[in-house]
Amino acid sequence: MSVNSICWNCGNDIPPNLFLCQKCNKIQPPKQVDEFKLMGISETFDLDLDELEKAYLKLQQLFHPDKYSQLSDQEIKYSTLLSSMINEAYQKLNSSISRATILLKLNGFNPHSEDKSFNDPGVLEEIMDIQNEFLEAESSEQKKLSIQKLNLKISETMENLSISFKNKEYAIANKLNVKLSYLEKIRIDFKKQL
Amino acid sequence: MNLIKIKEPMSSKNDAKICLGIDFGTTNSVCSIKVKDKFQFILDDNGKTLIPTLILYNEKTKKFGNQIIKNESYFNSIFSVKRNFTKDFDKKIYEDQNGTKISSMEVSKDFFIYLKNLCEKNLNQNVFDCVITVPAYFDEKARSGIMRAAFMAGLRVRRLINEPTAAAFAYGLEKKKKGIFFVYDLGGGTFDVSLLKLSDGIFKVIATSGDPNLGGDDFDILYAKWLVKKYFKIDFDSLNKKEKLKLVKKSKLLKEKLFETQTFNEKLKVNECVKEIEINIKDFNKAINNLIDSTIKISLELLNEVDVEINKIEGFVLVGGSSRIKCISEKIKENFETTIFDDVNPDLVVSKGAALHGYELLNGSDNVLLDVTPLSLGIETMGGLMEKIISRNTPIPAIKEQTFTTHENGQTAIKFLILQGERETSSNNRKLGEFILSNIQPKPAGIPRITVMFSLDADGILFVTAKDEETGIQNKLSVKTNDDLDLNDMRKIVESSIENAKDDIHQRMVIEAKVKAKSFLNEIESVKKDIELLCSKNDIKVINEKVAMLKESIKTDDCDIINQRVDDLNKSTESFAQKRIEKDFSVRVQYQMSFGLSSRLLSYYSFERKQMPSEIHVQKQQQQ
Repeated sequence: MSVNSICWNCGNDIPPNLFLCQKCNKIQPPKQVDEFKLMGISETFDLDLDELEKAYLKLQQLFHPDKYSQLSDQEIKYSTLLSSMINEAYQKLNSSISRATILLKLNGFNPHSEDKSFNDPGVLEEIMDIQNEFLEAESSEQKKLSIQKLNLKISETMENLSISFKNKEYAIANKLNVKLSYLEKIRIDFKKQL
Repeated sequence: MNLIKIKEPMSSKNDAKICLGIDFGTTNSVCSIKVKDKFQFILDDNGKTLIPTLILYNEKTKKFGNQIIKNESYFNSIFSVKRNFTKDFDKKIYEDQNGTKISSMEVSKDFFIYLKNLCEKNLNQNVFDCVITVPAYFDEKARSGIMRAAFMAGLRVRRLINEPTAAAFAYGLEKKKKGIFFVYDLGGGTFDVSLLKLSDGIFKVIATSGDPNLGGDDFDILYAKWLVKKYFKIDFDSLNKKEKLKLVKKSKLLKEKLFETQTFNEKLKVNECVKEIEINIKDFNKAINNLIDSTIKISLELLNEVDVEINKIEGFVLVGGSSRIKCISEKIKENFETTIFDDVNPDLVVSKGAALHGYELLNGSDNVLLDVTPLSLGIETMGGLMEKIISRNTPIPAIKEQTFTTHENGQTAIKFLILQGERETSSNNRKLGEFILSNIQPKPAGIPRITVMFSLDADGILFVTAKDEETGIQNKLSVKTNDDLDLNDMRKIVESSIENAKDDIHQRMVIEAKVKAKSFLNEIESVKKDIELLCSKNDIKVINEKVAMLKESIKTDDCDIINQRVDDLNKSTESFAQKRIEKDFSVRVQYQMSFGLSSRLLSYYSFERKQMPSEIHVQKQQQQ
């Protein structure tokens, strides 16, 4: 995948992760590149989100269509495409769940193929317990308490997920990620009901 | 990543390009511009920066803004025309000075021309480029409507930016602020809230919300209602239209006086009955309380939605003329433990933000504005539900794809209905347009792959493409009004006419003629197959000739010839138009005969999530 492309303007060689020609400085058309490479950050689950944001803003400062409004239609089009790609990559990496999904894919693990967690009685029971506790809570104090519990569970799952990525245990990471996405869904539901 | 800094596109500051910043408001409009490093507001003939958005067509003349306000004819003028952009701005509900029926968009076009002329008078030079602000919560149709009105006025719209974003931009630059700010923007007709993060030269909108039909106008109505009920014991709704209008305008004047005085006496006339009453701020606050509460509710919901704790926020920035109402800051203090920044002129800051951004667009800058889309975009699914493709608060520009497949064996066409809004059912969301992707290869259900791409550009304008992956056949749709002309096509026409036209009036005539001609050509193109089917060989030949001639004339800037050739083409297609109406009827009858009277709503599934059918309604096309 790491092949160089050629600048549409001056014919210079462009490395796979660059979008500006080093010779003529022209913006290049978007290419297939993973989110981490696009952002220019290291491929890890334990991202420093502030670093991610910095990288994101720096890229938008270079490629946002506002910077190209005076240039040719072609360049405006490239900047719109690139800027959209950067926006999407940022959003995906910013969420632990989609970040984990990306990492799983990059390591050759297809996240959808082993959706076993549906049948994992332990996880299911855990989730049901949290939901029931919230629904049965009578005061808003109690509800807040059960949200706190849920948050604790979320950070616990995140930690385990991080460990499993470090140990390259992708099947486990996938299960934890499915669990995390369920917990996150419940959290959003709970928040709406508060 | 080793990125090289982009060269500043512009060279020296001496030949800096100018770009007008227009805050086209419901009640008042403001224009400003940065020329050679100096920022200035545009003054009208009365020396005012605040230009009431009023238009009066009367006895063969047009009057605008402060030309009208002190005159008796104030009551006959068109006001709050911007409010119509969230409804049917194409409807010809007004009459111009010659008695011709015109739409809200055309009225706005005239107002833009007035603003453009004012600026040219102020600066003593031509102005073509502009940045226009729109309420953050404006939908697609409203945005493109405003853009079209400005295009028709001969303005090249360099960017549409959201009002609260523009305000935050000007505020952040001027006061050198950093951190997270909450912009509360209450104007004459719209209410917006935006949460922004300001850091070195970067203005990033985190999320936005609002109500496109809540503003000062509504306070005027509520207060008028309250006054009539309290002092005249009359139900406001029982009054006639003219009386209502007079009272609402009176109520507006009283409201403005209350910005300065807490209490005063005033004579009020309702149905010929005059009473002297005490006007005071307490009563006014009571009358509008519910609406202020809904602005607070919207603010609370936004903060709750984005997971930002109130103590992480530097404070609220109050923007928009209506934010002067004192009980608003009190209500904010009651509900949020935060600082209120009212050290900006709430009427002028939006225009200033637009002008500064416009200057940077044309002359280069390291600053960057990152905005989001206020409302979700998607397509209608079976049972009248909306399937979201781009969800609200997604950063723009944004491109999203989703793959669909057919539901019936041998299906050859799919109808897409594009929607915008947050409601589950599509009837509660705004319909942006529809198109049919036809000529899909007949295959068993579930086999064809149809990719739908939503592309939202930096102006927040949507373009949709649907593509059959096998045949490569695609169909495009940009959100259009009835004139059927793509905004990008319109932009090109405006650009070329700016280069070539002799003067302003000539330029607008060229734009008008070309827009009309292009829309007509698009229309002909879309029925090309029918023409070949229904017309005689000779007719087809004549039509093709006239089309070619019209196309040729569009390349010139001779509007007389363009208009003449539009007429010619129109005449040559008359008999076709008649035949088509007849054919449409017969197709409908056949359709009903073969399928029965029940409407045939077929469905298709999202390719990626087959287990969760996202059905959409599909029209099976007649095989010809």
